[in-house]
Amino acid sequence: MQLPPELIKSLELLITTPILLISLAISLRILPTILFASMGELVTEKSGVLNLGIEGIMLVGAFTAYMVTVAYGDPLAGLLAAILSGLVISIFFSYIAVVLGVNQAAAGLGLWLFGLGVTGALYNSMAPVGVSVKTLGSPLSVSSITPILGSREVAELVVSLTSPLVVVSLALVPITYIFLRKTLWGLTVTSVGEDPASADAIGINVNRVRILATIYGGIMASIAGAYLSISYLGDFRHGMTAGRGFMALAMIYAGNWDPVRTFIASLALSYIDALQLSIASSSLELARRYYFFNMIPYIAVILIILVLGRRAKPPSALMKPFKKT
Amino acid sequence: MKRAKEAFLTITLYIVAILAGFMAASTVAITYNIGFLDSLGILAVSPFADLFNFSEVLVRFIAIYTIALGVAIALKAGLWNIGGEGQFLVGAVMTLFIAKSLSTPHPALTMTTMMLGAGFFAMAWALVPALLKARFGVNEIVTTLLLNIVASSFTLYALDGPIRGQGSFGYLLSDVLPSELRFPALLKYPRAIETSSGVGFVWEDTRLSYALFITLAMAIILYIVVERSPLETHLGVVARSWRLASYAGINVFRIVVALMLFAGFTAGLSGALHIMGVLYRLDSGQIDHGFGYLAVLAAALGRAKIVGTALASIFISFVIIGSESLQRVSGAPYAITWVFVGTVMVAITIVEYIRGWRPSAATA
Repeated sequence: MQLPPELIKSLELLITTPILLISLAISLRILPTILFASMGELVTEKSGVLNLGIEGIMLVGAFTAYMVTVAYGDPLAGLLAAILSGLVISIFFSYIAVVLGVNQAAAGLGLWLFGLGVTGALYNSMAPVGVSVKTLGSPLSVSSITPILGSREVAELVVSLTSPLVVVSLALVPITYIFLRKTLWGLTVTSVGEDPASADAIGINVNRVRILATIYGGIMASIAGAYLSISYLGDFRHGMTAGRGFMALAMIYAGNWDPVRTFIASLALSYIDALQLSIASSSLELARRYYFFNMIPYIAVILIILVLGRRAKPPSALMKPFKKT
Repeated sequence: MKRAKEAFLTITLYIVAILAGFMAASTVAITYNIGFLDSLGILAVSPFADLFNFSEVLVRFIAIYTIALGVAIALKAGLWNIGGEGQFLVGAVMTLFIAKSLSTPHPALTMTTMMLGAGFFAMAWALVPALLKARFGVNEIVTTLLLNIVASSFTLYALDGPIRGQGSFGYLLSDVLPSELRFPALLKYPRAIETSSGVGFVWEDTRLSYALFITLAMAIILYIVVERSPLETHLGVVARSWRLASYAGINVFRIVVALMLFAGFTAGLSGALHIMGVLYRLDSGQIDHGFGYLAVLAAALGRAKIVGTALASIFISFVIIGSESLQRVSGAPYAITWVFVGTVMVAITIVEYIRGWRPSAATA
């Protein structure tokens, strides 16, 4: 049995270059997409609703943010427009999933395919070709702070860490933790997802809590998409989320519906993703075989679930619509 | 009388759901400067334009329905195999790999090995999601979907390595399947040619092959084995509640794994049939074929019934041919098909709600 040549070359790179450190900066730039999506969806799922359509909402968010930024030249306007798109879609989804109580798996899948189709078709007909937009990035630049910090790798790390949406996404972890564990609202969300009948008996409006949690998750998903197009890349591409929304769903499993553990799983995944990206782009010869490296993060997701998520227990009422009797 | 009324209502609701999909797709098509009614017209008429277009409908039907059979059987137990998209691809890769590396005394033997090999390889592809679902309750939609992305990269990897064609000149494509390993064409169509004495016709093979009978035979067997036996009820119990099912003496672990693996098998087989009957080779353009997701829609639209799924698959095939014509006329990308599929998926969940059917999704 012979190892693929890509693997041997990658191991060489790991030992002989500072690629592990460089990847850390890149992973911090990849992380927010999964973090926004997973922290939002975590609250949604805690309330007992599974929104499989976040991938679609992310795509619509990314597309809306890009188009509005192209039109107005201001990435903040793009971000607001993306939030609005997430709000509209998730109001619709929460209505059919919570109020009507339809099959959440099928509706979520439909939402994803709809988002994939609509953004792909409209991008082709409406978007200007090859226009990169001003991004919502760090006020610092790598070249200006490298002399102060002494090393380029550290400078890259600092620039990544000072990008506004990166900061917000990292802040979401303690916020979500405190919200779910230490506040009455968070406990309400959890109770609705665990035992809706009892929650209802003590006077909680189960469906209202679920609708709000679903809308919150949808808005976070649209920000996750907007981050990709107007902060990370400055561009839009058909299907650019590339399964990141589904990865976020998987990270919630791996983290056993706990914000901190979900964050650790997401960080591990982003780091693996960044590592394969920097290895694949380290030489032309490896870049030509990108499809070998492209498999790695997706396989990593499955491995992370196997390692971390084995004893995961979903909220008891996940995907179970509540009808007052 | 009451039953007829109920059936009428159901059919009407499904038609409304499908119309909603057409409306959404045609609305998006407006951005390609094509009128709303024009695009609806193209969608409806072009599949019947000539014999060739009609045969192409059946070509799509074979690919979609073969995958959809597995999806439908699993869906009876509330399991969603979204992985058909990738399992189809790895099946196609395995088909070509066997064709390249195996030589048997008789082509029929090689062809059988190719089909079974593709099916079993795709089954192996489905194994991890199956075990994760059955053992830990990990959502099978998420895992099978992520493996689709792995499958498309794997296919490119294979096209650059094990099944790379002799004369591919740096393009990612495989060798063409030798003619004795292909399914013969089932139908010929008259193609107009210019001859010395005006316009004449030659009869040419369509891409519709005898693979159709393999799909239909499988459907009939499944109908007898699953829908005409207590298995149907067992699967329904699993769909309702795993706990309930195990109280009733059903081995949930075994049934969940078996269903997910079977769904993988049919998807892999579909990939084999598509290579052996239609494409004869694989290239990088095939990695977003979309049949796996269309099969999910077919099974959902057909209410996970063998006959219903067949009708839904044939209907979806008509839509695909229509939408391909629409794409040629308007320059719209394939993505427009997903607008239709996504809208219909959401709409049928609402139809199911109106009809008072219980949502089917297995939870541990």
